[in-house]
Amino acid sequence: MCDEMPNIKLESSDGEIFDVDVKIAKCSGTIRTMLEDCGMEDNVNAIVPLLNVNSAILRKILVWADHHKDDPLPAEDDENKRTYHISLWDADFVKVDQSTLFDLILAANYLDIKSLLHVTCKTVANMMEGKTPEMIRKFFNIPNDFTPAEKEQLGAENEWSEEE
Amino acid sequence: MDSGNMSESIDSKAYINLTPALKKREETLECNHVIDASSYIRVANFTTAPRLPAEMWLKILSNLRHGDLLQVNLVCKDWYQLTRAPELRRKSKLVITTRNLKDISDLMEHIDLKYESVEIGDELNVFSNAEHELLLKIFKYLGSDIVQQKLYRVSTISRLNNLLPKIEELDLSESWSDKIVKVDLKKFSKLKSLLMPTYVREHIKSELVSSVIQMSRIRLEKLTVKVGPGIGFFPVDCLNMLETHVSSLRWLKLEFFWLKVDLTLQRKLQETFKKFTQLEVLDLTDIYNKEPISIILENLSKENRLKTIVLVFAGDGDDLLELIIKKWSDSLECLDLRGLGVGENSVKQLNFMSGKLRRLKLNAYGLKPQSLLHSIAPKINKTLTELKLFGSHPVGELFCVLAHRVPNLTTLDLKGLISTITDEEMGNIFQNLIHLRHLCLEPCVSEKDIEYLCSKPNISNLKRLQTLYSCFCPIKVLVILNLDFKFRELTKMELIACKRFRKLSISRLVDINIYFPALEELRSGDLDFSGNKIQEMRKSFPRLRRIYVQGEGEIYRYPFQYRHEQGKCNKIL
Repeated sequence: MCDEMPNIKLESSDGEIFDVDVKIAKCSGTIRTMLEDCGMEDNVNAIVPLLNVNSAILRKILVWADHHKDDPLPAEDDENKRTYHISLWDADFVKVDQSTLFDLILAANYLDIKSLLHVTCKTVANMMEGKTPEMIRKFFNIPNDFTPAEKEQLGAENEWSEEE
Repeated sequence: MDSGNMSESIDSKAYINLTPALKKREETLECNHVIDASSYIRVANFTTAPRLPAEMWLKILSNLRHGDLLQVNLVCKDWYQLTRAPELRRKSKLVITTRNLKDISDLMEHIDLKYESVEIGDELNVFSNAEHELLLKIFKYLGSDIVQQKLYRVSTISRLNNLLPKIEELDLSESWSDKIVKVDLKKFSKLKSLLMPTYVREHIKSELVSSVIQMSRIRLEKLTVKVGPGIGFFPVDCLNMLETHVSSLRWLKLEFFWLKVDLTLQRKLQETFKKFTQLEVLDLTDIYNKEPISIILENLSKENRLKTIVLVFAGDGDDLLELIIKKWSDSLECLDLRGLGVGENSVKQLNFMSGKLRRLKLNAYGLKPQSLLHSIAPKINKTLTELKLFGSHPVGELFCVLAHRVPNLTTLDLKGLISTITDEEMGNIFQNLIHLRHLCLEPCVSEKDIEYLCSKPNISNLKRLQTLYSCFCPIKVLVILNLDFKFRELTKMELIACKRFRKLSISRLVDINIYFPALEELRSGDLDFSGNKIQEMRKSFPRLRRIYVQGEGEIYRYPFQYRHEQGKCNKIL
């Protein structure tokens, strides 16, 4: 294959077309499999409709993919290794409002971009660390649907369980 | 690169069909939402939590530790269900004691208890017959899920024999034998890991041994056992046990006591250890006599790709270290030589392992600081994540160099140093080792004002700290600087006296609570917990579960333990 990769067109859910370097698009496992399955790497006019990703999120995702386009592909069994740190660039990338962060998670999952999914999920988890249930509810705007009796019961069970 | 090209006319769009790949992805996503009919997650009712599907929340929550998950399950009903998922339950174990036995059995009637790991009983309590009935009831309910089990009474195992079909790991290491019972492990057909007890009667030992030897279809992968007259198992028995599982064992811990290695035993040791092929972790202790350790290391073939070696032997271990490096330098990742006297010459050989080892524990007593530095990190060492030094450490400038050269350290343990920690060295740690999760420091010896320490980089750089053992000084710095900062992951802390802070009061601890929202276990000397102090502590540290207090001059006394039970704290001796 020549150095100059062909482009591919991605269409967001709100109808915007993105002209994207195939190499960048291939950060998405979903698009990668698709291109490989269909052998359509040279079909320059092909448009891939991404029904679950709007243009604002797709634009952000493409920024991520561009930055990470030269990363080695994670091995299949890498999912269990959660040792790697979130890089400064990544940490900065996910400094967005909650709603955008959730959209990024959904899009990363839909497009099968494992590194982005990991970083975004870890970021949400970090937001929950060290908080009380009440603080978590407030943070995510979740109503408390436990009765006081239920709460006491669960509190009791918590007392008996220890870190494994 | 992300320029949307809207100028292209609709007509020229060469639409491709939703390809099979994309379709497949969408299908799996749909399937995943309803993991299976009997799933713990009722997605249909997933109404309150924010709009992510349950599968995504599971992914998010899997990043959290046990203490945070306990908070998450109290947020709302949907999240409570989520935290029941097996992959999250695996992070916690149920501890059944005489105090909560009845409550657990009652609660089982109302909610779906599920645990894969269970620990039964604390050391001092014996279950009565009625309590044993309750225990049986609980296990009839829980037993089929249990994979890991720790027991303090050997007799319990004979009662639960038929109720643990899935058990893979059995921990009897701290078990006592309270009565004459028959012990039979053959029923546990999936057993992979067995930690043998120490303080049990001779007949139980021999029953355990014959049980392990007769496990013809069970292949143990992990075994720990103490060997020697009196406390341990008979050496020949032990070696026969090992021989049965020699082709499957990957993890072996042997502790020898007062073992006389006569010719017969020597031959038997040689024969047995020549047969091992799969060992990855080898943990050997013999305080008094190097002989069995030498025989084992000499006869174990290189074919065993040893990743971890732990040696505890009080004496000169230069020849052993040499042998280890010669045979296993390619596969070794963790070397624990805490109990080994290592001389100048052989510590130089460690230099050869630098860059390969992820974990190193070293008795550095009597070593020159320069050669110590050279053996750990002759240059930048990004592989090393865990370092424990006993006896001495490179001091002053050399320590600064060391801290620079091991940037990926997640554990630094300098407990048990004869050399002392200075303000400068603390500053070096806080400035360079920002990935630390576990930090143990001997109390500082500074005579200077704490303001001096405040001028150094401070401990708030260590954002991911999970355990801390140190004097009060680094925390006092946070208070003085009035930093808006929290250790969100710090669950265990032990505070020790130093020259600047000889005593800690409860009010001093309450003052620092904002920095430690996740604290579960606190150890400290000389604290007064009379009156309402316990309540005050509970209020200040909402997740606090255990407080250990060590009285002055009685460091080794069994610690007082305060365990929080249903809203109130009970003191347990």
